[in-house]
Amino acid sequence: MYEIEMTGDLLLVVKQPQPVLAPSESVPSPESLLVDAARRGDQGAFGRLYDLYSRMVHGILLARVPWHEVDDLVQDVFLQALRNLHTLRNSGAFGGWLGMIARNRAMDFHRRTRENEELTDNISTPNTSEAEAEAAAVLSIIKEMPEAYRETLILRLVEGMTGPEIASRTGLTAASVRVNLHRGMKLLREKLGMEESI
Amino acid sequence: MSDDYLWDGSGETDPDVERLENLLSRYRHQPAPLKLPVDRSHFAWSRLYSPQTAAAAAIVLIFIIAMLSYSLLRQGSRLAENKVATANEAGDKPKVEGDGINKESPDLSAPRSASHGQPAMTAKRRKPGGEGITRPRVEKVRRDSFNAAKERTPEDVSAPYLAEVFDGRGKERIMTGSVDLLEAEAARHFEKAQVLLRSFRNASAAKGESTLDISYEKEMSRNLLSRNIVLRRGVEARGIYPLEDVLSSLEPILIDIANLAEKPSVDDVNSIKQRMRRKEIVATLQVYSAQASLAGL
Repeated sequence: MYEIEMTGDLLLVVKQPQPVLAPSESVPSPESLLVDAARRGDQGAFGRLYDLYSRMVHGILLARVPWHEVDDLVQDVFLQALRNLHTLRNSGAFGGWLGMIARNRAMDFHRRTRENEELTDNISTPNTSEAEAEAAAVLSIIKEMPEAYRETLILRLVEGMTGPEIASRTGLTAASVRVNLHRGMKLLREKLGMEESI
Repeated sequence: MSDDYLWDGSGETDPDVERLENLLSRYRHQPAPLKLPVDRSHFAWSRLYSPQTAAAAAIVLIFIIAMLSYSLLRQGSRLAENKVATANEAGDKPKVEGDGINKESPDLSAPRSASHGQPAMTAKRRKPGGEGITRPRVEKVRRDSFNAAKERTPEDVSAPYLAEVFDGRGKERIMTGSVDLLEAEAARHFEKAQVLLRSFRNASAAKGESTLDISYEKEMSRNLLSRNIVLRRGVEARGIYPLEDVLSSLEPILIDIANLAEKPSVDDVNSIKQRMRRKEIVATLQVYSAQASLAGL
């Protein structure tokens, strides 16, 4: 089985080793069970999925749209997922499917707001503290990085997710996430003028 | 330096990563409850929609339509029955059923009175002054119907009423038009009745026998009786009282003939003949027929 992943500017085609499934491994994951329950109309299960995946969706959106718009868009993404949950064939692919909805929603947001005005995070107010201004500047730099780096870095640095957690939520392989984190951090250090620790 | 801290937060802390984490944590997602829409019909529909539910819904729909159709049909037939029953009750006259023999009138197969050899009720109707209970009621109904008929226009009386009577009983539609048509039909009816009564009057027993064979007259009397009833109701509704009197006089005679035994005794036949003679029914019919032919009916 081959899996297509995006790392930095490169498109990697990674051959996945065919796992020898032990009987215990054929058991569906808790997330899959939650997806199945939500598909049957269990709103509690969908709420649990929201708890598990809201940080991922928030990070994906934050990498693309202004920060003050993200919370509303997170709600939109989950509502859209709720409406279209019956179209998801593989319950185990919920994370990747939800991430794609979030990316599409971000594109849709830009398509609609382009006619009015371009929104950026660089809007500074007189009351903005130095730390806030620095944070906005760092976020802006991260947003200018290649897509695979900026998503992974935001999930790690902003949302506080660990590498394995990012891999499990987004559906990417751990190796890909690790590579993206390493290269993205290196690029960010260069842009911020930090010297890499030896 | 290992990037373990960057990977999963383990190992030696990377100060740059830690500083960026602290700096950017202000943008971190603040968990908020998911605001689900009030209308979650998409859940219900997605669960409900399946071939099985669609088939079940179709079956239920067909069943409901069938029940409605059946109910409407029953309602329609009841309405028709009620109309005819109302029409029958309005005249308080014998009910025409099937072969035209009265089913609600006095039992025609009941023992005949000793004096006249006819059903008791018929004898009561025949008595002048109405000692029995039937005659006053009939008179009252006649007066009421006459008053009602006076208030009606020719268009709204005859045609719908007669059409209802004839359609409801499956009879031929012989009178749906004007008074002339009604009277013409009555004239033809009287001619047939004359033929019957003359035939009956001339019937005689063979030598040495005490019974007569009048099966032909009986059958003909049955047919004329049903027509007589309908005609009488028609003229009653139109308020044509002279004609109604003739028909009312004729009707007991027809009933008596129709209810005679297959081979009645000479006495029974003679009693009817006497009444015919007393009422001069044949002459009355003859006069009416002559008037009708003169009027070009």
